[in-house]
Amino acid sequence: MPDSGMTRNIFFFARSETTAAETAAQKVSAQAQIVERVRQGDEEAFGELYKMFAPMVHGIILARVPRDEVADIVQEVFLSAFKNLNTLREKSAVGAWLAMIARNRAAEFYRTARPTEELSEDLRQKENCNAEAREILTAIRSLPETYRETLVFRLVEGMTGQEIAEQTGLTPESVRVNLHRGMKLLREKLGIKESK
Amino acid sequence: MKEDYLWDKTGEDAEIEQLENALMAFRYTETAPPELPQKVFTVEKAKPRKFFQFGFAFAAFAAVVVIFCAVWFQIGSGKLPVIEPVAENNAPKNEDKVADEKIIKTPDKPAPVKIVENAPRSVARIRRNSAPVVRSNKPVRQNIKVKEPAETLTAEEKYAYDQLMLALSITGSKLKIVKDKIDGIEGQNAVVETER
Repeated sequence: MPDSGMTRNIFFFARSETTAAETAAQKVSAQAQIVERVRQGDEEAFGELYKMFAPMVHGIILARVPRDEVADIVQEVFLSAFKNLNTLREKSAVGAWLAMIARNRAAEFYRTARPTEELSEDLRQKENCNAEAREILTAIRSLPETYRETLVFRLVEGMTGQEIAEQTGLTPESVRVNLHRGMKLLREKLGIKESK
Repeated sequence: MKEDYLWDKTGEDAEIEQLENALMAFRYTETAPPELPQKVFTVEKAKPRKFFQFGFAFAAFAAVVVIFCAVWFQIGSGKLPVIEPVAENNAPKNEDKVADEKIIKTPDKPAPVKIVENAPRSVARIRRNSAPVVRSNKPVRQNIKVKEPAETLTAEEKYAYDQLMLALSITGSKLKIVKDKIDGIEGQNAVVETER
């Protein structure tokens, strides 16, 4: 009965795709509700929104800005979002909107000159421990923007492809393509041979 | 299986796991959301605009009434000079009768106009005695008798004076209508109160 087995598999995948789509729709609806509550001045809802999207915003900024500055800029992004939440037309697109604010803030960081300080000895030692990590991050940062962000979401923030799609507003297909192409470019940068 | 691990972390991929572990140091660590500015939550109630409009209109009306009354009493008490033009057929035969009248003389423009000081006249009377106002661009010099070549008030001045008096009389009549209406309303209110 090979035909019946194949049919069963097709039904299984179709059902799992439908379930994933339903879950995504529910999450988007939940996001819209949270946004509405924040608009009405609910601070707790703002906390939920922050918890939900902070990793994504962190990833976007980390892909562009020095690590020491990331935490401050994440806070700035959420404050700015809170102040301008009434300008958000599509409540369900809050993730994409936050991502846009984060990208703008990161660009703004390089426009405004900031005083820098030399690293202390302890910090230098700590940084040396993460030399490999820094090297990988530098390689990721040198990739094109589309792949850079997706790889940071996946490798640094530990998000799955579906989560990336839900939070950034990209389609799952786009995320999948970006992940694979990005990984290919990263391997080339790091000199890793792709194992088949 | 490798594709699955990159997409949703199912299965195994040693290479990606190694990258993930190395980049774990840069992962977002949960922090408290930023403190929100309290003033954003305060919703200011807009003041009723209708009340403001009514109040402004009432104040403007009261100001107009006060100004008009002041002008009216000034004229009535004779503090303001009243200019009486001399018609040709009403010209006095005897020069002695107009002894108390002061005559303004301008050598170059011989348009005679008598100015009577301390004359207890009302606006209505002035209007009756004054020469008819011709609404045209022509000067009103025809209506003014040339008594003596030396006695003069320029035609433009005379015309301006006539226009001013006409405007004042029109304003007065309109304000009188308003006053009558107000008195009527007050009278009605008084009747209602007495009936109660």
